[in-house]
Amino acid sequence: MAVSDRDIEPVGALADRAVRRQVWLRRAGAAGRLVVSVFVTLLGLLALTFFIGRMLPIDPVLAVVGDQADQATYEMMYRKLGLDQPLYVQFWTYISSAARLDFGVGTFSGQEVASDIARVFPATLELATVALLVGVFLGIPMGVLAAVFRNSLIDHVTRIIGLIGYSTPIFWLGLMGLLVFYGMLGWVGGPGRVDSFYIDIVEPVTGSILIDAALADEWDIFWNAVSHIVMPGSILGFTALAYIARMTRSFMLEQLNQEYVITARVKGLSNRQVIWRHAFRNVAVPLITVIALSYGFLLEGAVLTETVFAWPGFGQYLTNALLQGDMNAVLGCTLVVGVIFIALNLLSDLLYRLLDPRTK
Amino acid sequence: MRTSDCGRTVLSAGLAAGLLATALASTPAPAKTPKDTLVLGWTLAIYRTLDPADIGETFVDEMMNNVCDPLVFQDYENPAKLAPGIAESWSVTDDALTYTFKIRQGLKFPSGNPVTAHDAAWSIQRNVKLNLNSAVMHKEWGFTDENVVESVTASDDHTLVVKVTEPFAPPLFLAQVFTGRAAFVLDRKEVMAHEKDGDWGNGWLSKTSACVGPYRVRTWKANDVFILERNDDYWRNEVKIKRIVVRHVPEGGAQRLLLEKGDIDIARNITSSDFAAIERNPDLVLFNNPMHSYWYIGLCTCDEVLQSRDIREAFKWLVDYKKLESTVMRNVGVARQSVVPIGAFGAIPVDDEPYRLDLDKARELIARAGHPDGFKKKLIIDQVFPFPEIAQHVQANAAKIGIELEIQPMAAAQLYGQFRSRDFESGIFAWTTNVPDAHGMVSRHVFNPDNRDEFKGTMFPAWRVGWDVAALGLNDKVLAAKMETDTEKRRRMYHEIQRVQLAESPFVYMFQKIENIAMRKEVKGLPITAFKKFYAKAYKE
Repeated sequence: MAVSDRDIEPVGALADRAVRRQVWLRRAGAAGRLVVSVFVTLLGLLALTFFIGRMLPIDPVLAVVGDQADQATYEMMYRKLGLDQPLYVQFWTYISSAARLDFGVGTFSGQEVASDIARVFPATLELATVALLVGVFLGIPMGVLAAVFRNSLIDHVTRIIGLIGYSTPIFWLGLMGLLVFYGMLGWVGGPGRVDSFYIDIVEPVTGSILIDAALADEWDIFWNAVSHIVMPGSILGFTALAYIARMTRSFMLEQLNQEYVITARVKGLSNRQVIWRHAFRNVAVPLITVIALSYGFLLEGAVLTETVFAWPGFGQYLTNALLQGDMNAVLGCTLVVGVIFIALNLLSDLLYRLLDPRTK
Repeated sequence: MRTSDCGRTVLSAGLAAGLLATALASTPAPAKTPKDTLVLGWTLAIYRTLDPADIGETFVDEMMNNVCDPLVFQDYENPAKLAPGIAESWSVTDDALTYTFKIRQGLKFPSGNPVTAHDAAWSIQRNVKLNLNSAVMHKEWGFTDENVVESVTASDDHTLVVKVTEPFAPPLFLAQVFTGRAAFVLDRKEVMAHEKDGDWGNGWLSKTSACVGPYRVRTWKANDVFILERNDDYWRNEVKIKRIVVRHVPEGGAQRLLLEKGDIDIARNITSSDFAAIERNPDLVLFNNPMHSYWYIGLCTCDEVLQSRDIREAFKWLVDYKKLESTVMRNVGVARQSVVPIGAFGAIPVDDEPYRLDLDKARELIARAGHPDGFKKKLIIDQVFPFPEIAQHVQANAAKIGIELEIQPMAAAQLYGQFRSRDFESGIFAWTTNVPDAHGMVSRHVFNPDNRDEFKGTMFPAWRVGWDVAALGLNDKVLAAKMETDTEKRRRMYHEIQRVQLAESPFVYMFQKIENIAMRKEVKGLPITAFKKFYAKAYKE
């Protein structure tokens, strides 16, 4: 039998293919483990929330029918909400519906929980993103400067700002901000996402009023929305700033004492190059986790900021659901929070791989 | 870092801040509310449905009363007076067993369908058959799932006939059954076209409206905004305000700021800390509207100690009604010890109320009941204002005579869950009635058809506290007053019931709620009663 050159693969090519297959298998295995762990985490989270929710002494039926309802109406609603079923049946019913992305109807909003979350989450996403931008773009330079000028005035100021950010009740800070910048100076818009005049004009596409207004070419509304988000975004960003600045300072101090920094200085590099190109690049990796966690907490719901600024967001929605014993809404929100944290963790892992050569 | 580097950084930061400030300064000045739009700031945390058969929240009830007209209106100024609604006239037979309503001709639903007596009959039947929140408004008067189709009929397109099983006092029956959401006339054809799984269109109607009224629902988003738009063809009067926008503003202080700046016209959740500032502001008006709502203590007779009439009376001497009224409850509540609110038909005068703070009397009463050294009880309360404030006052006075009250704050759904299941010793609760008549309160608080646990009369607070009113002959008295057609006689009957209630009941009524509505002075003509706000009459100068 004649054998052509094409049939004979060089040993090197075979080895390459085997290695590639191994890499592929390893990646597939890792992805499979990830999917299983995400699934188990979310299931555990739901189970925990569900059973804790059912143990709470809050009567979800009363939240629906009101205090004055007669017993027949009460019992009808009790059955309608499925509360007459054993707990495990209720949980199974919920899980199987959730698998079809059907989280049921919120008892306090009367709407599908999925559509409620789709409506309130973009508002929080918008606010949290602005807050994070404030936190990152002010917090990181402040942290770096504080570390570079350790024990100087800059350092003390940064620490005081951090302390205020940690210790001042955001509720009070929000009200004071409103009073001064909206009430007295009139520099920013008041509570709400836009002025009353502009409500319900822009068709929601993404749910972000800034993006939707820009897409609709409604620049008056866009700038009005900017004036409304500046205050809550800054107040919320202030707490993120305090955390990010403190962590940045701490990471930078650690790096500035390393020998490679001294070597870089000896090589004659400028201070700017030493700090930003060498020391800060090594700080960037752990800082990603800090930023991701901050973003997670901001997205989870800045309920007090949302309350003061009448921001119709996720935090307020979740808090109301908890107070009313609306388990469909609580479970839907729990799932969203779980997914946010898992997604942010995955994202920070990915960025680690991109930024840290040791992980390649 | 060299100083020049640092300087550059600071300069960059300064430039960025400057740019941001410029951007902010260049944003358009906040738009004030337009003249044809009325903007309200309100807490819109909960609103589940727009279906009149299922509405339970004050906010939605108020709004839907501006969207759907009932058969009969409460008068704009005097809620005790009735005015024609979808029914242009009505008559009652001499035996008070048959009511005939003439339905206004020429009205059309938004769908274009004409409004007929068949729609009116069907709307009442639907309310009873659905058996949701509003069903009790009909069930209390003898309408049942079995009899409502025969009892409420349309003899032709414009004649609605309602038959009752007992001869109720006509003004009371008309006011209680035909003036609220249970008497909204719905578009039968349109609603039934959206029926799903035998739900009488409940799912569809929970998100929209199908009735005749001065406004129509345009937008409805829980925790965000609620918008009504004018019905240009409204039959009753010219509606000047084109749009009503209700914004979700949960914080009272933020509502005040928005009001002062003119970004809202009416603030509905103003707190007592803001009253003085609003009263001082010449651009604002603070309207104190006495509601037919109470804050009261309930003492469960299921508890052995609280079974004693003397102990229960002692609690009534532990409250400094007037002092609280002028301090913590200033602009929030007026002292009221009778079960019938001030302003309701049949209410006794405030001067006839006997109780005041008298620790000696309370001490004497608990000694006579066999507890000279006092006792210990739990007091469950809602965690929001003014429950904790009232509870602390009662607790402090009780401690002076040896009664140790352990205050247990909780969420409302938990509080009323315990109250309804008789699973408490004592508690502070709230109650609202929806008619300006003594019957509204006494039919629940002084009426208990069966005091046994298994009866589960959870809709009657008298049952919840285990008060055996039948033993005092009060059930019969309440029913007799419900049937009495002679107005003066009926008034005297309610006076008598209140006297017994004051002496015997395990309830300590303390305050009648005052609703605080802060408005811009430009807002005029808005009729505000304890039960309704008619936005169709409002305008802005």
